[in-house]
Amino acid sequence: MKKEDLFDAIGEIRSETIEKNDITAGSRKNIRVVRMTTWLVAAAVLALIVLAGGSTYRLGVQRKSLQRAESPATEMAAAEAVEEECEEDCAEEVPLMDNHDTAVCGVTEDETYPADGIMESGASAEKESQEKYVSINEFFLVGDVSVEEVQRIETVKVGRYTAQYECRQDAIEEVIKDSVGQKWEDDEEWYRVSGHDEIQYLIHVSGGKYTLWRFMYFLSEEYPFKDVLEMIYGIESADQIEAVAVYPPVPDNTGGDKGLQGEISMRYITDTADLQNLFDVLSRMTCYGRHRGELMDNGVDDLSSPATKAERCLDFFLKDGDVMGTLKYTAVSGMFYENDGAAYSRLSAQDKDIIEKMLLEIEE
Amino acid sequence: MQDNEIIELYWQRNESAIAETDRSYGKYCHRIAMNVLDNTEDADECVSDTWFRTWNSIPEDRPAHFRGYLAKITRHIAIDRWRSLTAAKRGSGNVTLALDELGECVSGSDSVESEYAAKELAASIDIFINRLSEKEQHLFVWRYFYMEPVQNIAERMQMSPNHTAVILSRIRNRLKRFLQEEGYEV
Repeated sequence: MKKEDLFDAIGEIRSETIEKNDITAGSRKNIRVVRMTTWLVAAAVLALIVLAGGSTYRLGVQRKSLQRAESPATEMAAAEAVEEECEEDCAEEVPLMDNHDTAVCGVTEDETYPADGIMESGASAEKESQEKYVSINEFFLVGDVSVEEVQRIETVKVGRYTAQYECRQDAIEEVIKDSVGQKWEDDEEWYRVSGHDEIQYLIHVSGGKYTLWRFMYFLSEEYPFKDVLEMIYGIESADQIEAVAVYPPVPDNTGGDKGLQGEISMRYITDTADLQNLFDVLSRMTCYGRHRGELMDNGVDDLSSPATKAERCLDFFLKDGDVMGTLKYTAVSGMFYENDGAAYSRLSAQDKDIIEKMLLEIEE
Repeated sequence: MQDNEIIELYWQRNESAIAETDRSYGKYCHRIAMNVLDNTEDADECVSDTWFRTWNSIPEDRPAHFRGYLAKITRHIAIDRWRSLTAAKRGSGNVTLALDELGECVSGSDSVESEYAAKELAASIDIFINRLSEKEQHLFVWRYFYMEPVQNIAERMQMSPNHTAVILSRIRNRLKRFLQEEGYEV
């Protein structure tokens, strides 16, 4: 076949398809303005409710039981902290975007990020205009959910790797059933989530049962993290990243960390040069897979070195609205890691310096 | 004036149909022609030819989607003109770029596949498009039907040009696989 055949055939597609994808239809900037206005109105209404009722309006502070959550003690402490904060100024709190899988560090799945407007750009507005896009948040119930305790893991062929996916047993099957996207490669049982380019989540369909699965690792002793960024999250360049939320980990309630956490607020990296530097560093890292705690040192045994001062959690918000869940960084050893023991290569002195200048600016 | 009213004028062979079509869709068709030809005069002529061809094809046709119907005619005429201009070393490089991108989906061999009727292939492409997410549909149709420059698409989608190009590349790969599954020798 020649490219001209294809080109001419595209000129013969149905008029309905052409109209549906009209090039002169309303621009996304307009959609964005409408959405921003909606949020502003919503925020104003919420403020009025709080002022008039004098009651505590609790926004999204219910917590879920999460497989990857911290210990019950720290969970409770974090929930209390959020509720206290909310009672003080929840009129300013506006839900911004899907923040699934950000529960590993100090932000829970149902908490909302501060309303500084960063996340309102492109991403969510873009998604709103797409009927077939399914936000990952839609899969999960709010509130306490009982799930099976046995972890279910399956392998999926992804390029030259075998990837491990973990079943999200707290996902709602009815929603999954309505969210089946395109078939993953030639596999008859695995599907993308509708509207998603990336494969952080896949849907498994077998015997009339629909389940949602989240990427964990590649089954390999070591592999470039760049492969994960590209093959799983679809991140091939820094300019696909809208912002990175940086925040302290859930405090250790037994030490002096809680006080420190109060001093260190969440902030966002949005500067293009910083995002580029961060992307470059991540792209150079090697992942050693799961349960490699022996490779890392985050200073938790050193009581004289409060962990929160040397640690940060990072959530990556992509311009297409997707979220890459939490990575942790510890300055103690100059390493990124994940809660379940996934370890990454130690950063070079130069990369460590770059990262720490970005992440560890403590607001004194 | 509503589309069905304009079409009714064509059926009545009322020449005001052309003026009404131009009023409603002149800019739209001009934009399509400009994306292909990148020359105002050529695009103007192309739009005039579109009205002429529409006048001749209605009432034989009674398009349910008039806007898309006009878009197809405009694109067809503009591409024909572009081909003749390209032979004369004129014409927009935008089409060449879009064509080259589509070249990644096919072998380029001049075999029996080139005898596939465009409409049959178009029906397959339609199926493919409808399996895409809405965002991907927009990207694909804007780029390869309307031949909108990647930069413009990126701005409209609030994405970077690089990201837009990456997604388009993935869509092309999927199109190639889809066509193979459909039995085309790409």
